[in-house]
Amino acid sequence: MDIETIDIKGIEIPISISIKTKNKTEIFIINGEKLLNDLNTALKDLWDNFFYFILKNCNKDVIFVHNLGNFDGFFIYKALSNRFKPEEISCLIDNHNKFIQITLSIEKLKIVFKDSSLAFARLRAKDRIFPVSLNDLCNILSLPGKTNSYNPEYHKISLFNNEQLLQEFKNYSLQDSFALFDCISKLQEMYLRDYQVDICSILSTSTLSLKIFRSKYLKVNIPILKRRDDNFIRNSYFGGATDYYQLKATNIFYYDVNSLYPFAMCKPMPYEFIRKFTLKEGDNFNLDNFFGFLKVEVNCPSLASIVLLLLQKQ
Amino acid sequence: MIEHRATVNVKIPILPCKHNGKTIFPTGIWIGTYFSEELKAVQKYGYTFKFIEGYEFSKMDLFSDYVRNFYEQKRNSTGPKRFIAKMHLNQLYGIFGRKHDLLETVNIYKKDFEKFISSRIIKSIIPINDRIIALLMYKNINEDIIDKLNTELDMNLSNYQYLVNANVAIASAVTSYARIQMIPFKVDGSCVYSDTDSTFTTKRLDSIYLGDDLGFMKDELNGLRIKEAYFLGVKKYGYKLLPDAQSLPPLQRQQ
Repeated sequence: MDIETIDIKGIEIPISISIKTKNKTEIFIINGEKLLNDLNTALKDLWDNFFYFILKNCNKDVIFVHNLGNFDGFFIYKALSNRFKPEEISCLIDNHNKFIQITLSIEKLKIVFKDSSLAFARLRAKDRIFPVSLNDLCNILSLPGKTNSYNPEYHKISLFNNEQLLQEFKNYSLQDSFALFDCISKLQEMYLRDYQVDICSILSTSTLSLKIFRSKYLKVNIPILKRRDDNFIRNSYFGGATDYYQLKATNIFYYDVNSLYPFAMCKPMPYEFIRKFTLKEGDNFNLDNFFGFLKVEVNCPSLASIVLLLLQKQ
Repeated sequence: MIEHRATVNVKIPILPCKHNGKTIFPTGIWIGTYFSEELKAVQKYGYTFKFIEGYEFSKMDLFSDYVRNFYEQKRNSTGPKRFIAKMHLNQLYGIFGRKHDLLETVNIYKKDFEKFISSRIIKSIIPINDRIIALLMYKNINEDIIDKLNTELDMNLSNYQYLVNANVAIASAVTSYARIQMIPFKVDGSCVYSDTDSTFTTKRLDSIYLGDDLGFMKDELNGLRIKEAYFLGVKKYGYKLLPDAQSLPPLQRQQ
């Protein structure tokens, strides 16, 4: 599903909700007249129509929302909260307050909203996040995707005064849901065939990776660290190093490591926790024979000199 | 036996340190926790250590099969298969670094608010309508903190604990190995800018570093050179290429 909004006095107001299921395609548009006179009722009617449709047609389904992590999640959550009892709604959010999943369960009925971009359209490479647009995803998957492009007029209230523009807008909004449905269906088919994983059962590409790793590649059990040990080791968890040493340079070369982190993953990993110990001044300790994590006092002399002892046979 | 005396200047610091929530690469003296292999790697460049506390682990190869499979798939396919391979190559390690603290969101009736505020640690309160509010609450908080709060403030905060399937030792080791791999390129004196996995240099890299295999360097410009580049900050740079004719013929890549 996908939601489109317009800007009314600086506030984003949802005006259309499109949804594509296996057998049905529907678009719900807000009443243009009511929108001006009684915004709250207009919004309530829009969502009521949508909820009526999903309660009837989508029980036990997972609905992928193109933008759940951002605006759309807030719109859906608020509309659900207004319409249903608190105990009927639950959700998962990440540390950045972004929605990962919203669940509506009323007795035997259950509908789950998931973020499609968290699940698939995001490549988290190194410490950067590249959101892949729906169009890019369609390209990658060799699907037709969107053909009509966005028109800034769709974002204005004057949209409702122009019958032809409104029709164009409806087609445009439906395309998003079509494209998303096609992408998810294609990915689902590939994952079921190649990895026997149901993508409706996972929350993110990371959990999907973990699921594949566990089912096909993991030969031993990875121990879970105790909370206190986790706290100690977490101090050693840093991201990548980025630094610039000159503001301007001429005549230079540019190189990049092939899959640096995957390369690093092929090295020996810390596996079973053997022991912990503390050291006092004068205690004998040989770093070369040790594998694990160390709390140390580091001395990095800025321009000091150190003595390298090299033993050489003559 | 001969004693060689050599002077090493730590001109380009390579060991990270957390400072006010940011990662910096300082010089001087500080206390930090590190993966042993990173300490071994930076020792050669002039760093010295006093050891305070240790957590020893056994070694195990966990990921080579997974990585090699998806790396081959990435190299030998196009379209969706390549996309999927690339995604799974990059997405797995981070999950082991997941934090234990979790956020929980619940909708409650306003009249029940008191019950929650006296027993839970609340991050945000979001009004939904005149009857209902949404609460964002922490769960799985470090028990020591909860105990301390309960004793000192005479409260009865509850804390729902459940095991998060993570292992930060693995995530930390992966990122350490990645930094170790980049050290030679940062310290060789010709580096003008370096990122997590890339480097801009004034010298052409020796062909032994170049290749298609995992962990080898790839010439991003395919034999071309940059005429002029500006580095204004972390991940903020721009450059202009030299025309083809003035570039050197590409080096033979290692197979």
